[in-house]
Amino acid sequence: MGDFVQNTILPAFMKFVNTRGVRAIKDGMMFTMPLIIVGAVYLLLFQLPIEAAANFITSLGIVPFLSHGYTSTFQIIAMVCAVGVGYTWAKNDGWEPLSAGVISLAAFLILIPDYVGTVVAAGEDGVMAASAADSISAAQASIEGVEGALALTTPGLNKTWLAGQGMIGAILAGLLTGLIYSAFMKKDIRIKMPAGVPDGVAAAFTGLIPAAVICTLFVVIYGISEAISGVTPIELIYKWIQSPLQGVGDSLPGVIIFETLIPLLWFFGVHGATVVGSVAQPIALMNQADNAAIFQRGIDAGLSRDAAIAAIGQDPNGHIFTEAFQNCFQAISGSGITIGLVVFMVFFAKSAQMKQVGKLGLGCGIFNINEPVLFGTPIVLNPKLLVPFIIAPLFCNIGAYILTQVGFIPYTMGVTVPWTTPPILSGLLAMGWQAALWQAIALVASFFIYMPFAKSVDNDYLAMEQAQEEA
Amino acid sequence: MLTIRLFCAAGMSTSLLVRKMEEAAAAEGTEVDIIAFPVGEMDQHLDGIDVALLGPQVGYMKAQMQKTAAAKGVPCDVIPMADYGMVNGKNVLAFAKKLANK
Repeated sequence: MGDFVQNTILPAFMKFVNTRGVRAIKDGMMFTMPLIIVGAVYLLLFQLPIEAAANFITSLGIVPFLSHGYTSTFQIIAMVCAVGVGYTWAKNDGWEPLSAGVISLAAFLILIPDYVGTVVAAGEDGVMAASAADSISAAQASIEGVEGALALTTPGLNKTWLAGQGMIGAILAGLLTGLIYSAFMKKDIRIKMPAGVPDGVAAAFTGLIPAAVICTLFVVIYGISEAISGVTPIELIYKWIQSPLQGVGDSLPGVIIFETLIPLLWFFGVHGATVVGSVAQPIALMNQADNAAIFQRGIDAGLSRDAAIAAIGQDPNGHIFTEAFQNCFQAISGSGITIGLVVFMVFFAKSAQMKQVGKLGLGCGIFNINEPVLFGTPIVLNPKLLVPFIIAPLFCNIGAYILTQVGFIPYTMGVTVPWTTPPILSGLLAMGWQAALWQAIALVASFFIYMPFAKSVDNDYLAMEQAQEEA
Repeated sequence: MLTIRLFCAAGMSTSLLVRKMEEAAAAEGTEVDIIAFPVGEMDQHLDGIDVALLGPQVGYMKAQMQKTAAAKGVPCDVIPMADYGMVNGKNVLAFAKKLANK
């Protein structure tokens, strides 16, 4: 069974994970991380959970500035994602990458509306009727037959699509650009400058032909989409691809699959969080951005902080499984929530092997790193520890999911923390004391989940060590 | 001078090993230059180094990474799991030396 998995299933799985597209998505999305974290800090500052502190920030008069900083960082991650995916694809294939990133950005922007809302004005009798239709076509339809009516739009980048809701469109734009750009470079179809032209000048023309072809392709896609469905391509992508994907990732079965696969892959010695993350991470980010947008709408509508968070749970676009949820519950103290095992090894183990690994694991465990425990105990390829290794994170994640669903743990509203933030602190910052409390419970539970299994492993080592001493 | 680069998923878990390897090298009087990086950045850190080591958790990328390293003439292999887990700086240093043929 082990051989079958290692020689047949795992290589096939790895082949998928290492395909150019998946690598481009995984590494390309990393470029959004700094903006997400910085944006989250701004958001945290002007939406402090403690009222006295929040009032103090408000009295300083800096809330509008912080809010501006937040919307200009966190709320543009789909744009950055388009650049990152196209860039990474070209880079991995060994071509000049920034051109590909820039073309991806243009391709993505072609997919989204270049107007912000639509105003319909019916003028003849002097009565102005205004409505915010979603697209030009919808606005035109609504005024059909009304004499002298005009459909007007306000030009501008439509922020609805620049973050969470535009993510899959951005990924697709990046992938398609990377694919076509690389193909052109490989076939050497580019404008060649005669010898003697400085390299810098020549490089400026490298991207010209692929840019023309890729952008035209996206303009054609836009035209067809507008002509046939009356909406921009991004809306179709959102409705038919992104929404269903987010729904699957956000469901309890989806979370259970992610959280089981991570320890299972680690059991076979593979970095489970990285591999599962190539699928789960984009979904978690989109969900996070959706929640942030709902929260922002609530605040703009004059709701209190708590009411705006509660509104996320009521909204059909609100999500439980987000980036912050992942960083707070998925792998606290490391994949498999091994803190219980570490505590057992440090304070209760009798064998020298376990005591030694426990000491190594304690320090890094606080920051959610546990490679010494995984490889030193070892947990990798050790069937005796597989059961608690899967149960402990499932307990934590299923519990957190249900507690969010019933309204005890607040929905994440945009604030996130780096995954290396120590547990309890991370829950407190990202969601509130309720999350911190559940993290504490899960950490304690980890001890009892691992204990019987760890005892058995400890006895084996002790017997082995004693046998060695006698020999 | 032995220049070693370690590569793991994020370059974090390996930093502990870097310290232990430096201690081991100091104890036996070998001059070393050891830094850990994320495996995704490997291609940027191959110039002028003697050996590239992979953490076992990214061992599944071994074939691909060995190809990348070989293009720059750098030997590359996966650190044995037990030595990595026990953060055995001495063993890993010996492993690196053997790979680098120094």
